[in-house]
Amino acid sequence: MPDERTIRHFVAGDERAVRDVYREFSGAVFTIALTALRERSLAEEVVQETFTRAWRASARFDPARGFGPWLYAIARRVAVDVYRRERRHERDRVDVEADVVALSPSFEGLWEAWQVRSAVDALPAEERAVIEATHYRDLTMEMAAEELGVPVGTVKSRSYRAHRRLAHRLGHIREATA
Amino acid sequence: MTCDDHRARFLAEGATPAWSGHAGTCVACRAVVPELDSLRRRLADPDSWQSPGPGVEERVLDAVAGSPGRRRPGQERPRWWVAVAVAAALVLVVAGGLALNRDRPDWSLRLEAVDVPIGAGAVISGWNTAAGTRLELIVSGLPPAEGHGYYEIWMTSPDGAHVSAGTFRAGGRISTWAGVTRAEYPRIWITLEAGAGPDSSRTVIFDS
Repeated sequence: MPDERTIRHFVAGDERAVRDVYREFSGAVFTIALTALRERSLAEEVVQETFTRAWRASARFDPARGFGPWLYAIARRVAVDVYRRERRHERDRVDVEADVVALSPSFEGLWEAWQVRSAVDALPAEERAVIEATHYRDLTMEMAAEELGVPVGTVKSRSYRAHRRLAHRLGHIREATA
Repeated sequence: MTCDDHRARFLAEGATPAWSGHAGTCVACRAVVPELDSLRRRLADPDSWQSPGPGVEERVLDAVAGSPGRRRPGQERPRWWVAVAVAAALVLVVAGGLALNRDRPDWSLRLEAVDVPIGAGAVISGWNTAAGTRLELIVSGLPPAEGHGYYEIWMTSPDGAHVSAGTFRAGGRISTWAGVTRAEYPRIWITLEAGAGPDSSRTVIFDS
């Protein structure tokens, strides 16, 4: 999470803070865009447009709301706009008014996708590598150790710490909304 | 072990005998099993591990640097049709030391034909500047507009605000100007207009 100083600079319109904020949140924005739109080029367009809009609107950012949820709301809105634009092209519509286009089921669960990606990106690099190896690439602890070039015991301890962080960050949120 | 320890183990390994033993006595942990299952699926989902390409960051920084500025609170963009005719033609002057900069455009787009004769085509290019976007449209195969009619270029924002980006009567190379950027108004389309008026005829002939 970028520190308050970076957020303050971003809100104040400091272009240098844009890079820091981008590097912190671009993964989460890209994940929800890819989840919703299922196409890499469109997801990258969402990333670009989200940060551009966020920067332009940052003077209206309410710190009480939290920067992550605020940025998520912008990203989701951009993804919806892109989705509707693509659907209009597919149907060859000539109606220039904003029509109602039912959203794909891929738009469900975007907040969860954002939270998971944010939590993963917040892990220390060595712990994130273990989570990626064991969950995403489905490697055993032994295979992960061989690939990462560390002892199995190290992989296990990193795995334990990483999952504790994820469970603490994500499990309590789920409990609060269950 | 604490509940966090048990939930961490569930995230790592799924439902194990140790988890089942704990969940049997802990209502809170039992209640979040569906969510923990969902989290495990998310961790294995390729979408959770992808990142945008390296050029996206620079495009964001360029867009921010080239932005005309942020709106201050209270200065909301009007969400109705905005008929801002800023059709200022660019003049190519070679003599006297002035020359049109033919550098590469910041973007180019082939517009899809919607309602035009077979073989007609349109490509529009844009150069971002501090004052807006310089546009160059190349249209081929389009008949001249009849009577008092003309063709009009439109740019539209994701929330439906429209800006006119110039008018022309026949195909060829058309140079014009828009006081907005494509980043803000990504949709570009061309209509056939029967006469003057602030609103589009909705006769779309090309669309992005």
